[in-house]
Amino acid sequence: MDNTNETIDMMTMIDPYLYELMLQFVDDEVVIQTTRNSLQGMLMSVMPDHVVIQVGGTLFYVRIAEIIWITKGTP
Amino acid sequence: MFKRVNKLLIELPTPEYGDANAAAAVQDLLGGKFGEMSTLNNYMYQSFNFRGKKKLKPFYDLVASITAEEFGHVELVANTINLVQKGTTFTGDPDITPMQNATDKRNTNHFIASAQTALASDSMGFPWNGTYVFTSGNLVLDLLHNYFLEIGARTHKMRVYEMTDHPTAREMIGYLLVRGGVHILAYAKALEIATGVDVSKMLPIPNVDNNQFDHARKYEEQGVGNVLFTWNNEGDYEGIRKIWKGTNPLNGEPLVVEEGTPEGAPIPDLDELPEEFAPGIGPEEFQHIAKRLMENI
Repeated sequence: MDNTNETIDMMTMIDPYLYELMLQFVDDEVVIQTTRNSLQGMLMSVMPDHVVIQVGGTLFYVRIAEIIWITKGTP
Repeated sequence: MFKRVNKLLIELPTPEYGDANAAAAVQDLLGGKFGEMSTLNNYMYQSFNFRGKKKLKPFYDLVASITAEEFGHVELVANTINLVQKGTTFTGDPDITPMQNATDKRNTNHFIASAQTALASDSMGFPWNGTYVFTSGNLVLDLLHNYFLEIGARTHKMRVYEMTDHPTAREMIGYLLVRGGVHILAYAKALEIATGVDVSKMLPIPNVDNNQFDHARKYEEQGVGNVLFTWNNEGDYEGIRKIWKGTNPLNGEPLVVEEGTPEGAPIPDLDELPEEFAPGIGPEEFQHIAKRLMENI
């Protein structure tokens, strides 16, 4: 091993294709089915490990790992 | 006769997330044997069936005015169920099974028999029924029964409080625990006046103070546990002042009778649920209805 300082980049498990797909859904009405329940609202933003969906006036931060499927919603 | 006020007893929080199984549990507080429909109908029938209303007016006034309050309690619990029963289904074409998550919930009736709203049954779907109504006509026996009923209702509320932390359910239970405590004490005082025996000495039952429950503590501190309302502005039920008097043995504060009703809060409106076909009035039909409503006024 080197003696120089090595930076370790954050490693995170992502579903790369799902992540890319969800980026396209930003600002759309979606339905997200999680392992617990379903959420229906406007997809506000997508991060590598979670998405932000606005239901009514409230923001929900949902772990991508807990999503089973998403689909376009009806407003 | 009854008048109706379009207000809820207290403001209920309306978070965006729900909990179908919590709503199912809360049904027990509505249509269960010790639920609000029971307290309502017991006192209502006892008030209709009271023999000697003139001779025993304060006791008649007590059971008649508490009946009116209990109507508001039934309304409050039903509204709580309606606000908590959300977030399970989504809107979509029937063929994509938008109600698929409902089959795992404890009360499927809520999705089939009603549009995710309250039913007149308990948490297991067993219907509320008239056998829960005790109206013997003997004053002391009915008062003793009511004392027991209110204590049972309190116990059930404490248990449901321990089953869910959904804010709407907790707020409703916190408030009703305090009001239930008032009714327990009211019947205890009525029994003491009718028999000379002070049954309030055995309270609280179960042996846990309301202040142990965060959501009840704030209502205790507001003095909600010391007041009875007459639910009438014509002085019809003033007789309760002869029973609800003195100090509250549980906190030492004076007992108060207030004329009329509490201030109340707005009735929550409920979202439309197309997947439940509720209310089931589309934009075109709405136009026709609006036209028919507005003509010939």
